[in-house]
Amino acid sequence: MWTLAAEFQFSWLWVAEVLVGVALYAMLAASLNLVTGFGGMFSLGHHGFFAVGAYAAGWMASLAASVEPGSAAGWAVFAASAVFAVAASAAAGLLVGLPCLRLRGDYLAIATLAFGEIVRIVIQNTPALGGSLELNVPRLVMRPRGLAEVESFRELFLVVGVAALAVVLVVIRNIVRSAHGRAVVSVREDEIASELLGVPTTRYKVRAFVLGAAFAGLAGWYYAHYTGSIAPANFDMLVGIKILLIVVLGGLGSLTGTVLAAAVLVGLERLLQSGVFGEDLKRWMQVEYALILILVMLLRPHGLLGRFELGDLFRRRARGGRAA
Amino acid sequence: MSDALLEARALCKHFGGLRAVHGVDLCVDRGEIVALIGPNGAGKTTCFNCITGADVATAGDVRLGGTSVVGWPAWRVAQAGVGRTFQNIRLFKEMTVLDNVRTPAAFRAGYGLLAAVLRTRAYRASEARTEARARELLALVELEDAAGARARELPYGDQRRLEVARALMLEPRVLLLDEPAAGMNPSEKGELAELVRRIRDERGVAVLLIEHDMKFVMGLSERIYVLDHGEPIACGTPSEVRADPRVVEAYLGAPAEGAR
Ligand SMILES: Nc1ncnc2c1ncn2[C@@H]1O[C@H](COP(=O)(O)OP(=O)(O)O)[C@@H](O)[C@H]1O
Ligand SMILES: [Mg+2]
Repeated sequence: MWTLAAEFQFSWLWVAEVLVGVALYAMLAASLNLVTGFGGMFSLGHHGFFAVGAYAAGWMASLAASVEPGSAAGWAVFAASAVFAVAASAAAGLLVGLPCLRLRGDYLAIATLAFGEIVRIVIQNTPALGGSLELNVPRLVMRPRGLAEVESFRELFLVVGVAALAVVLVVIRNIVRSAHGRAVVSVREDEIASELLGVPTTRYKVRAFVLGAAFAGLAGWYYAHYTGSIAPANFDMLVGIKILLIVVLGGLGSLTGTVLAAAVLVGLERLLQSGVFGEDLKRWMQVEYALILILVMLLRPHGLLGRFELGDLFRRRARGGRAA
Repeated sequence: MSDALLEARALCKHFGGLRAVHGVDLCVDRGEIVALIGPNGAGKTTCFNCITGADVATAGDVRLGGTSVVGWPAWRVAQAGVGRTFQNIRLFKEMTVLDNVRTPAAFRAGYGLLAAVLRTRAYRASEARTEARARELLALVELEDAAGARARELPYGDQRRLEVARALMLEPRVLLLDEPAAGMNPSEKGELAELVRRIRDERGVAVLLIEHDMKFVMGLSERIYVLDHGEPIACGTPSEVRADPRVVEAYLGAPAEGAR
């Protein structure tokens, strides 16, 4: 992202960038909420699907480097790269989900954790994706040069981001309120009872997991085109922790809470980054996420809006056993 | 091959060296209310688990309408017409009472994810049908006023009846009830017996039930199977079973129990 001189710090330019970050993280957290909040599946590698989507979109855009930004062809590649990013991360979701979702227990948490790291290592060792350096993502819809153009670029992406977020939220909400969504939630509540009441639990878990991965891929597409350059370091564990933190704070199974928590967390982060609270806090920021997450887990709160406790997730997992 | 609705033949389930169920034959015909009794640990719940696919039987056959369901995943057995409740209540606690009942209808929804997202006419029609059926079942178990409450908020007896309504949503051919009257007082038990009869008479669902309360079982069932240490020891009408010396020894031995 662009480094701005101090006088721009609380300008509309700055606010627009913060809001873009809120939309991005709300998208990521909402997609994880489908998996963890509604589906009860503990995934620690959501940033891996985010990375797959970002690199899929970035790679496709890099093939169209000669396309004039803003031309019809530019927009077409922009849209096509969204489809490609979503398809790629959905495929990755299937690859990870299919083998471990058949099993009960914590295989998924471990497998997703490994997946997040593997994605990063694979990218680092793939020259076509920039290796451990940056992958330049050519501009397709607008090339921001001067300050005024940067502003309209951000406004454009704010609109794109809000639209993409709205799509993600409406799709998840409508699915959750359908017969299929009830089946997914019933798996979270009691997998054995669910299966014995005619719900093919593995099929529903895989579906929810793949859908969550697909939406993380959409967020990756958005991020890649916004920043114009992506690197493996943008998709490390810390990003995964941040997404999980937003879900937990907002409440497992609460989409409204997710959006609010994303706004609070990203807003706070940018305020700290701006240095208004001093340089010390700025440096400690990375540690804070892990600390907050640990605290939240220890204290088992209800989140900002959720009724569902994180602790229930573990207790329910521990229960399993036989169908007595 | 018999055309009994539900038939288990030479059913065995061993856990290591423990013969939890050994050589059990069971048969439930259309319109019957049949009971499975026996002391604690006799293997009754394990029988239910093997019939419904929750456990894989070590040996033996389970047939539903003449078709073997051995090796089927539990969801498929359920969809084929076997509904059940659980000895230790297993509701979807955080879901509403209405959603608990609606959940088993998912396989009959008749619309896909895309239709759900777009809220198509097919989606709306299917949802309306499902909700109407769920409310009808809630009325049957007298929980219609609790539709919006969370399942975990219900009193114990109501939770048991909610499990019955939820299982009925499968439109089962046979309903398996695992100690449905446990923890109920005599008047609640009377109402439950009435409910079981109505389920059979009005909905044509056969019932196989596990129950400890002898008065409840004797008054309700047409046929009784008795298990002890995993093995069948008697089978017959309530009066036949009551008179069987092995049953008296194994199960009704305690005078207090027999006197009731
Ligand atoms: N999953 C299991 N693993 C080991 N032993 C089991 C398991 N399930 C049941 N048992 C044993 O099988 C026997 C029968 O249990 P159960 O079917 O629950 O009896 P009932 O329902 O008649 O009280 C008991 O001794 C029980 O401890
Ligand atoms: Mg039992």
